[in-house]
Amino acid sequence: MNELRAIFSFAWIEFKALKYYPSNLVLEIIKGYVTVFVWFFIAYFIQGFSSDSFKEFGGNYVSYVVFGVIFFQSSQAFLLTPFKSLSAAFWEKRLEIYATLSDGVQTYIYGEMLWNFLLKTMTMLLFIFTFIFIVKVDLIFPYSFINLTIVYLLLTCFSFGAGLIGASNFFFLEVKQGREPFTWTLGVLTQLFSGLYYPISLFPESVRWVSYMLPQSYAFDAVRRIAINGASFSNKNVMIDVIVLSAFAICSLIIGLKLFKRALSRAERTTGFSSLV
Amino acid sequence: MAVINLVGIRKSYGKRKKRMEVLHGIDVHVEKGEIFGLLGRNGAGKTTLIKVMAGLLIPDVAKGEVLGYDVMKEANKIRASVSLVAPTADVGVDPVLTVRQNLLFWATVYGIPSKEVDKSIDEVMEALELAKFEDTWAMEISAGTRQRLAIARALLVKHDLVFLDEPTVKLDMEAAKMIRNFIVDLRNRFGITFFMTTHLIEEAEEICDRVMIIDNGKVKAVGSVEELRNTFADGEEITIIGKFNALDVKRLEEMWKVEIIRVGEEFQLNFHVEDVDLRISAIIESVKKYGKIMDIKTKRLTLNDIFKKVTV
Amino acid sequence: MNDFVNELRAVWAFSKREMVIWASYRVNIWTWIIDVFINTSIFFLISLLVGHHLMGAYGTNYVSFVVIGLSIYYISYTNLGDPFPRVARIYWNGTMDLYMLSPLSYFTPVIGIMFRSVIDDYPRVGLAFLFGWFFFGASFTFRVPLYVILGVVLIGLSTFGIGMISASSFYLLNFKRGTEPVSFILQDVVIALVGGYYYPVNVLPQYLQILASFIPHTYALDLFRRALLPGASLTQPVLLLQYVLNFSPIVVDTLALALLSAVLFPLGFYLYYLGIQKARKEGTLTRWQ
Repeated sequence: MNELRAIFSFAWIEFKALKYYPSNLVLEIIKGYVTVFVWFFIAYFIQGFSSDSFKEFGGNYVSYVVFGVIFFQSSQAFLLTPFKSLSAAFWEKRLEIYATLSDGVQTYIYGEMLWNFLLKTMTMLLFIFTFIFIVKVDLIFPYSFINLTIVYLLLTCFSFGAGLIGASNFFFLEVKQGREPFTWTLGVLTQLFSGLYYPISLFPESVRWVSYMLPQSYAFDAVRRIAINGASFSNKNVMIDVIVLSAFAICSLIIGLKLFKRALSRAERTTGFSSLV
Repeated sequence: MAVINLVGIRKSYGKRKKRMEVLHGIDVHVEKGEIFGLLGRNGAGKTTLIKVMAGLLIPDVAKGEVLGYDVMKEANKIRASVSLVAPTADVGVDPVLTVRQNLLFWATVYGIPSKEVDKSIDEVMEALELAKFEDTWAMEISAGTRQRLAIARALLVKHDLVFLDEPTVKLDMEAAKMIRNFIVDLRNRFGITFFMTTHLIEEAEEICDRVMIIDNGKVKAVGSVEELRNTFADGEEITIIGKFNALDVKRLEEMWKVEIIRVGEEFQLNFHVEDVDLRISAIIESVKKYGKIMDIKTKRLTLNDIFKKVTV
Repeated sequence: MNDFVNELRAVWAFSKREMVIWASYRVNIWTWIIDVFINTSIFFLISLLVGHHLMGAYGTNYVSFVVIGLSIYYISYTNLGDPFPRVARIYWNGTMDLYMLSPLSYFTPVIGIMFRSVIDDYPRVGLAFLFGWFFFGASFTFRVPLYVILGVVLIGLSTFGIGMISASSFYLLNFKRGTEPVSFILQDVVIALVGGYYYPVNVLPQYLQILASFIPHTYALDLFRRALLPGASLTQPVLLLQYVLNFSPIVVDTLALALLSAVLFPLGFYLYYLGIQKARKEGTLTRWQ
């Protein structure tokens, strides 16, 4: 119970910090919008040449890309949250203070994750509403809302778990700043192979196994089928997507939590939690 | 020859209602080759004063020159002719460069001719005992060694005037002593003028030819430690313990401002004087006449006492 | 003359330092090569959706079209986006005072310290061309070389000018923390959206095309695509200004770029100078730790 309160406190601090730098949030939202709009225009430009490839997804490339990019932005943010938070606290010399508390570092990271989840979910809803009601991209809404939420939560769980695996490299591989190789590789593979910008069917059969190894492939496939085609969980493809995504989410969370714990004990035994010489 | 000759330095920060004057018309006069100490509590205006003199900060009002350059009109020339050591060791020290690479970089930034770069680096590294860390990353040396590196950086180029903002703040006693010796040595060998701020009053007492005490942006005292002692000397004490006749002690009481304490067979005489040096021989002469002196102690005014007194 | 040589020596010293720092993070070397590869790959795969359709006035195929976009993006990313964080770095680590107390000009440390990004970003231009050509079927030609060279110089100057305007906001407008609005609004919002890195400007709504007319990237991208892409037209107008002026599009591009550079480059340096002077008055030149 106390730990839960502490997690909420960390999230609360981040919320309070918004008061001092409110413009940062606004700018971040604008940046998110720009990214989605850039892909919107790319899709709009490409649309005329490419409708055949998207028959399976309602034949609409603009909806396909816009929705993929919105989901990708959130999942990518969750993937990077644990490492970024750890790195920030380390370099700002806060981590050592957290480490003096029982499970303090974990609590801090969970608090940051909670805050990012709330923030990104809010911005994501903003994007979705903008594109549905203002830009008028073809999407089925709000009937698909509950199903989409379930897929979103599963993707979030996976991303946080994978993010924790990445964060453990902070101590395992001593990657203290810059790019963390695990999350970076995962991000790159997702962009290339998960069908984010183009359908997986574009790849030759021999390459598709990479896509099938990525949980994001299943998540993006499911959200498109749900949001563009109006499919439900009873649809065979969506069902497979959800089952595989759930398995990935559970595994990544278990592995992530275990590895992160081990990484912290390694830090206690070796380099510690501070950069001070 | 005056290296710094400034009159009426005023500097304020903020706008309109939030305007706050930090320096209230300060005069600074420093001669060539002096080691000049600036003392003051936190927020007294020490760093602002240094920045104004180094040409980094434009004062509201000031008249005079630093190294012969007008402080208002030729700040760029002043900046190019002075060195500065900031109070934090990490300033100007790149953690992922070795000690030598750090110095090489700054030697070029300071425009030291290529042929002289190695010589200058070797010289400061030797003087500050950095040679054994030559190829070590700056992030792997201790904070104290990094501070020595920061000082070495500032002294790479032999400018006529060096500003040191609390140069020994993070150092242990031995390392601080080494820095002080190095400063004195540089002054003696090259005639470099040092203007330093410090919180360590003993440090100022040890190496500064003159000190200035500022408080709330105003000069409270300036001069050599000896001069300050003379100016502010009251409350110094000479204590004489000895065997005297009680009547004779009464006579001493009439002659001097003295507190008398009887300790068994002996008397302890506490003479309150303005200046120990001025009075001690006369007091001893007169006490000797009335009995046997067994012990003499003096309590002189320290710079610390003066500092406390003027910054109250 | 001697002063100028010293400034160049200092820039070289900064560059060497940045090189050492950069090389100390070895993983960076690989990640940025992979980054370029990934970026070109993504657009190559998108181009498979397009098939063999020509890109209108820009001829050839979508990969070639995007390689030009990515190249300008990399140059702009450095020239425009880098001065502000570099000034911020100098401020936050407290070294601005120390640089000011050297014989260097106000601008040398910023230019010198930017070298890290030059190492990081400029070679990406070459890599983008190489990957595009070698792996993904991009094809290029080299027409009107004089205009290409002029274009490279002018886009360099104009983006660096905007970069210095952005850097000056650190002191002039006191943007010490968080996102810097000048480069954010220009680089991350306006240019990203309407500059035309990944699509021709004429797919945008007209009000965005008008906005695009004030950005150097629009003209540079148009110029390079016409000059470097096989089958591109040297006569068919695409941009609004080209329709208005009604003479050779690449001449319009070059003139517009020259005008924007002539305004932005000196303006950037002047504003940065004003920013430093303001900080010298306010005592905010550096964070004195």
